[in-house]
Order: sequence, then C-alpha cells, then structure tokens
Amino acid sequence: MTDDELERALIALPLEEPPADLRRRILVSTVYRPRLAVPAWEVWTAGTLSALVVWLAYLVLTGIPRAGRDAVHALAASLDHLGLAVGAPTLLWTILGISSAVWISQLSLPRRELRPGQ
Amino acid sequence: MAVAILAEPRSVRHIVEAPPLTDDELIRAALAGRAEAFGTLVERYERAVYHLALRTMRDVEEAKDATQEGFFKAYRALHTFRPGAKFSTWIFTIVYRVCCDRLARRKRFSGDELPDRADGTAGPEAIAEQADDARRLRAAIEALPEKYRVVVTLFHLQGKQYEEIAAVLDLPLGTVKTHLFRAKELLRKALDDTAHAHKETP
Repeated sequence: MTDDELERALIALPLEEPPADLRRRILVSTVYRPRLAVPAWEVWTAGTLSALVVWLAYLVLTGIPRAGRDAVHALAASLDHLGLAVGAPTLLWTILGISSAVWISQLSLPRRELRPGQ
Repeated sequence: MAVAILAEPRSVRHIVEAPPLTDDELIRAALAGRAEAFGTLVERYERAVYHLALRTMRDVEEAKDATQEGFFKAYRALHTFRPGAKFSTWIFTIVYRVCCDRLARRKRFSGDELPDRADGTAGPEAIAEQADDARRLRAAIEALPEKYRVVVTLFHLQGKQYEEIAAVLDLPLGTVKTHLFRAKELLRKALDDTAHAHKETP
C-alpha cells in the first residue's frame, strides 16, 4: 500500500455514528438547561445566611448555659426600662416578621409577564 | 384598484435556498441567545467530535460523556471564541483536553499505567478477522499507541492541515509530522500483515 493510497483510505474512512441520544443530551446540558428563577448570588447569600443562623443558634443553645433565655430576658428588660414593655415572644416574632418582609422585598423573584389584552 | 391587482405579476415563487450560515454567524447568533444556532453547531460537529472522543477514550460511554462535557465547556466559553478562528479546531482542542483529563483521572484511580489495547487486539490474526478494508483499517488505527492514534484521527478529521492538528494537540508541527509518519508506517505494516494473514487463510 502506497502512502497516497493509505492517506486516501484514511480520509475516506466513515466516521463513527454517534449514539442516538447524544445530541439531546448535549442540548439539554447547554442551551435548554433550566435557568435559575433567581440570580445565583441570591441563592448563595440566602444559603450562607441560613447556615450562619443555624450555626449561631446551635452555638448559643449548646455552648452557653441558658444563653438564649438570658438574651431574651435582657432584651425584654431593656425595652421595659425604655417604657416599651412588650412580651418577649411577641417582640421576637415582630422582629422576625419585619426582617423577613424586608428581605423578601429585596429579592428579584420571577414575575409573570402580562401579554397585551390580559 | 382592480387594475392595480390585475397589473401585478402573478405570484411567481422563486425558491431560493438560503446559503448555510457560517460557524462565525452561528456563534454570533448563539451569543445573542438563539438556542437553535448552537443546536446547528452541535449538529454540524457532533459526529466528528464524538469520533475524536471515541478514538481517544476507546469506550463508548466515556466518549459520550467527554463529548457532552466538551460541548458544555464550549458553550460556556463561547464568548471567548475568536472570530475568524476555526470552530472545528477550537472544539477539537476542548474535547481533546477533556479526554486527556479523563484519561489522567482514570489512570490515577486505577493506580497503574493504562494498558494500550494494542496488546490485546493488535495481532494480525485479530485484525484479519475484520470483514472489510474499512474495518481492518479501523482496527489497525485502534491498535496504534495513543499518541499516534490521536494524530491519525485528527488527520482523518481535518485532512492535511498539520497546523490545525498541532494546535489541537499543543505539539510542535515537526512532532506532529513525525508522529503521523510513524503512525502511517505502523498502519501500513499492520494492514500488510492482515493481507498476508487473509491470503494464508484457506
């Protein structure tokens, strides 16, 4: 077999047939990959903050004896002192609610687009 | 009004096939968010890329995964593609690197050198079992050591564009030519051996 014959045979060699589902797999992992409804940084921030809160709560509840109760009492006592006597659970729930509302209002949640005529 | 309508030439449809978009145009369209443009690129290069991955990995499942990963990396890095460069060279380079990484990982996990399949099926008897010339040639390529097999595969895909082959493999041009020369010698010898084996078989 000459060099030319071998080169011709090489170039004429049929390519391997790709598996039937390969193109679908490629497209699903690229252009048709589902996008996150919220920006990635918000997901990371929320996740990090949640982990931090859980970790701090764990530290407080396990590390320092009666730390949680003492903290709530101290806060309630200081508010009492200021003349804003509010029950500790009420106060905590109020703070939690306001914080959540502010935080949620800052998120760019997906919005349904209205079409003309709707 | 009626006159105007009558005066209009009857609808003569000129069916003109639009020329296929170039790779650069498809990339621009894909970057502009047109999913079907990237789909066309995949359709255009899927087979060649899979062929390269299969020749490098020598395993259908691994080749599928490497092809998918290669296109995924290309899609994410599409904005870095230099207009005017050859998309085939770019995607081959990406997929070849993916294959090299996978081979290195496989080698690391198995803890020893990868056996070159040349030992198992390289014998003239094994190759002689292949039915026709194309199969014999394919089997002979399979039996080549990796560095020669990849050069031959890229020569098969890209023809005599040695610079492109050198770019994909990140090798000097001279080395590519030497590898190709040596690979062709081995192929010729393997094919001659199988031809003799065929003749001797009653």
